[in-house]
Amino acid sequence: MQRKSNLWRLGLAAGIALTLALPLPAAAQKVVNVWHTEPNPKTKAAIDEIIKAFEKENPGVKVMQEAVAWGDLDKKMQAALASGAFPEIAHGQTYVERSLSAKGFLRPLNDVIESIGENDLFEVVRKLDYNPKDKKYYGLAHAVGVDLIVYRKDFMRDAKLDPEKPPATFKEWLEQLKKLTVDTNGDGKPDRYGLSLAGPGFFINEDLYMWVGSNGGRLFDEKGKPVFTEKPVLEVLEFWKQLNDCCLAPDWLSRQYLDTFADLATGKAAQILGWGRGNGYFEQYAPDVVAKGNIGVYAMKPLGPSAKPGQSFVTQLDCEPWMVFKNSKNPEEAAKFLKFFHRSDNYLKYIQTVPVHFFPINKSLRENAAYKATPEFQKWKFWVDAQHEVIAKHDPRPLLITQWSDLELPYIAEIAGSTILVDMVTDVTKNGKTPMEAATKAQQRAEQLITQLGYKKW
Amino acid sequence: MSMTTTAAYGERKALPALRPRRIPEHWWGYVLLAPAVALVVGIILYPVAYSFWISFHAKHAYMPIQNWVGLDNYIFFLTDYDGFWRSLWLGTIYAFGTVTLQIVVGVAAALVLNETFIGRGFVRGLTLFPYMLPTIVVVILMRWLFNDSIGVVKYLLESTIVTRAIVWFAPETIMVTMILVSTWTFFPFVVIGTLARMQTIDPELYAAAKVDGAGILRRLWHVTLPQIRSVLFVVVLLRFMFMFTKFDVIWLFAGAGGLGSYVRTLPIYTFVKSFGELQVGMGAALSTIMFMMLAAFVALYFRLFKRDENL
Amino acid sequence: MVAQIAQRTAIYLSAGVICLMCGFPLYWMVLTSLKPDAEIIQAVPTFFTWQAHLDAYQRLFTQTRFLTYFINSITVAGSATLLTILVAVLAAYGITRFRFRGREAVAGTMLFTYMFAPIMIVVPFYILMRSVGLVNSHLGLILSYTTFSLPFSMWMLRSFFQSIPLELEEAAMIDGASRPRAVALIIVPLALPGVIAVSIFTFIVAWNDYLFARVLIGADQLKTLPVGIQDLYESTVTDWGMVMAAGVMITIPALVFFVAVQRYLVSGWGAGAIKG
Repeated sequence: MQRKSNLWRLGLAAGIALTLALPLPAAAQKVVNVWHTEPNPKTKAAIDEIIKAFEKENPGVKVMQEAVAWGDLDKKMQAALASGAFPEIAHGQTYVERSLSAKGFLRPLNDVIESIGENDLFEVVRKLDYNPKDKKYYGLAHAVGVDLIVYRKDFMRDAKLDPEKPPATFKEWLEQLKKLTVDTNGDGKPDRYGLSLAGPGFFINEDLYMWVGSNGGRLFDEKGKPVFTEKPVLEVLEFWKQLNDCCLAPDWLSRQYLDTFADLATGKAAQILGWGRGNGYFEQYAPDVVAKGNIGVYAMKPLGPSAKPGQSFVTQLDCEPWMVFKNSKNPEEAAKFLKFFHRSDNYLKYIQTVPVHFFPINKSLRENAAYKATPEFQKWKFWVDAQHEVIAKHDPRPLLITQWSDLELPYIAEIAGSTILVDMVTDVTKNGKTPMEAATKAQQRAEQLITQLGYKKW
Repeated sequence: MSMTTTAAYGERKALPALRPRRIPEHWWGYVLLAPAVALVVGIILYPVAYSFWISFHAKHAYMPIQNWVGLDNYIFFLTDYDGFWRSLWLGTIYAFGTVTLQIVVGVAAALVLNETFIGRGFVRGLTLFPYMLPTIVVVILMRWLFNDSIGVVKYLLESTIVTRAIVWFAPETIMVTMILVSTWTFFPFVVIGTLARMQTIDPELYAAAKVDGAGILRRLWHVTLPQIRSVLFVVVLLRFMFMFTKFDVIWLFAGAGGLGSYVRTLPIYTFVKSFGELQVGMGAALSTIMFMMLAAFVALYFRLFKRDENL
Repeated sequence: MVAQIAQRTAIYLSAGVICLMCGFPLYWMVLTSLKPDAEIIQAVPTFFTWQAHLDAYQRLFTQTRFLTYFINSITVAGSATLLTILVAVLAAYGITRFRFRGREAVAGTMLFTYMFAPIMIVVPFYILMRSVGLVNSHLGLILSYTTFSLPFSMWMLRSFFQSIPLELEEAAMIDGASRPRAVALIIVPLALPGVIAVSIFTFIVAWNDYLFARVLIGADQLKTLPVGIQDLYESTVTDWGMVMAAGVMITIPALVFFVAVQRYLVSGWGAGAIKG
């Protein structure tokens, strides 16, 4: 008897739980769904604050933010696009924005840009999302940032190197890194490496195109044909092999991006390639290193042997655009929200949640007194200034874009996701292939992929 | 069929729908199975059928491109040596390696936990811990423990047993590391299944074996193993299917490129095709191929091991 | 006598190894969550800390929606478990106690569903859920997890039901019990270890799933733990202390639960009435 009534209770409990879990009926208001890739609690809180203010000014509109980790955004987007359930606003890569706008998925954002002031935007920010064909902007970077060499000044001094003098060429850099690779405990093997690189495919793609660009090279020709066997690419692969043999930890492939920051903080590496938001990592885990002023950032990167005379180095511009989906339920309210979001008082709140990484897209905010007074800048002003210099003068580019015309290629996303370039690099650095062998194989795979996708134009 | 006691009858009177007598006996099987079948058909088989259909198309992940290509996707993989065949090989090593270890460690642990000793309840609870951790936490934790620069496991090995510790995340070792990590997380599944079955073994069987003078090993061989056979049959089968299609552990731990290229099993390669290269048709074809291979494996497995099982 | 001492020693040693294998990572997780930040990533790790503090936990509960995620996970996993037991007991009983056409085929087909990689199901699954209006709801997740664990649960219970002799049930029915009563009073208690094993399995499927929850659930207030934790881990600076604190908070309640239920694995055995 006892057991039986227990079973009944179980059933009842299950029933209640199921009822509670039923979806709540949607209220009769206009909902703007915002998918972004900044899951940081502080940033989410700032966006919430902005949303509250917006909803107060616009009764009847409800904004729902959803922070999605980068790696998951494509899964969610794919499910959303396949089922026609578009979010109103989403982050994406610049090349995805181009593909989507070419298919007519996106609402032009010219009105949003006018509300900020077109001329107030940094040149490179305008170039990113401007479509010269129909003179429209189909995206707007939420903030920018550049990838730079971050290094330990104390280790430079230990190696008798001038901590303020950046390496000008790959060769100089390699020599510097060799001197920075040292055995500190005398057991005959190095325990501090010159450089720590992040190993996941995404970061190998990043380093590859930046170095190829800095070496005067390209990944695709005028017709969009892959050109991985060109000399500048082969030289970069050779350079990478040398780096791997002399100055990288044997398991560098396994390093997550943040592991490289840990390496710099704990003294396992003397240099890394990093973004501004890493400053928080150093403050949290290596406060003494920061206090002694031992973290440095170069406002430039070295050039390769095939670099053209007078060319600038290529580094990555972090610049995910907001995109507004035309076929979502409330695109107009979405644009309205973006205008509100980019109003300088609101935008400043957002920027200040990750001040060293979120570089403002407009010049006026950069000069804004309240922005300049951001408390974190006292310690990290050099990092922000270095980014400013590169953004204003050196034409940094989005992921995998060695030349701006590559943005028009409809298959950059597929190449980025394919592991073709990554496998090419691991083949050379870890599998004993020559640069030519690895590049030939990658070239074949890329041509095959582009053909399968139906984009072959050569 | 039965005569109900008055007390129970009083209770059931209010719910005449539950009275089984009106329905012919042999229909009951269908009625009882219906909810399970409905759920499986609705939530799994429909997506599977959709995926099968898509496998004959060149379909882009989010662009509105979808063209019928017949068997092209399947034919492509036949000669895709560095992609498909390599992944099949890596996936087979991974699945066999980790399933074998899971069974060995799991059954051994279940045998120990079936004995009586002080603190048994606590150890039993602790054993389940690796299994109930969300995969994402397992991965964070394991990367943390085995990390080459700040990992405590490396530190312990280096300062005690070996002077030059193993680099756990190098191209040569990552497969072993993944097999070990997967074994660690999933062996409790084997423990739960076999231990539960061991609990239902009649102690008289052991007593009889003891009277016959059988030692602990002979009792294990002649009493325990035959008794847990039918459970092991299912557990091995399931673990193999789960590990052969396992995606999240490897993906979160090693990714697809870089280090991940040394553990690029079929599910990872499927992911690369459909979410990386955005060729959903290709991905669908791959998962169909995986499905067919598993089906063949299962058929073979049943043929080899079913025999006297009453399954 | 000597043999017996050796045997006891072997058992305790093995238990010790199991404890170390499963317990050390747990210990390390707890320790990391309590350490001061600067001590966390030291090149030479410390195995104990004198400066333990709960800051990481404070951050976890004040700066994130951990508690919401936690409650969501409990709701979803709990409901899925109860539903699975109900549906799987019915199905397993139907299959073991009634002879009907196609029962072997149905049982086999159920297992076949595990041969399809989840990664490929996820997009059509989303489309399906959207068409029935279950996107962004816990009900969608509960039904999915129930479905994913059903085939296993059914097979597990089936093998338990098979080991219970028909005579026991028949005896009860001759004594005057109805069939549902006989099932509830005789079969289920005898198969209790199986029911517990099934519920642990289902609970964990639901507790651990990342992929389907990520795709199906958008609203922050509906997210389950794995998705919430992934977001924590991915955010700006990995706050190791906080991530480990989250791990501890997930583990401890579940650990208590398992230590509590494990004794039912024993008590399910019914006084020598089963032959096996």
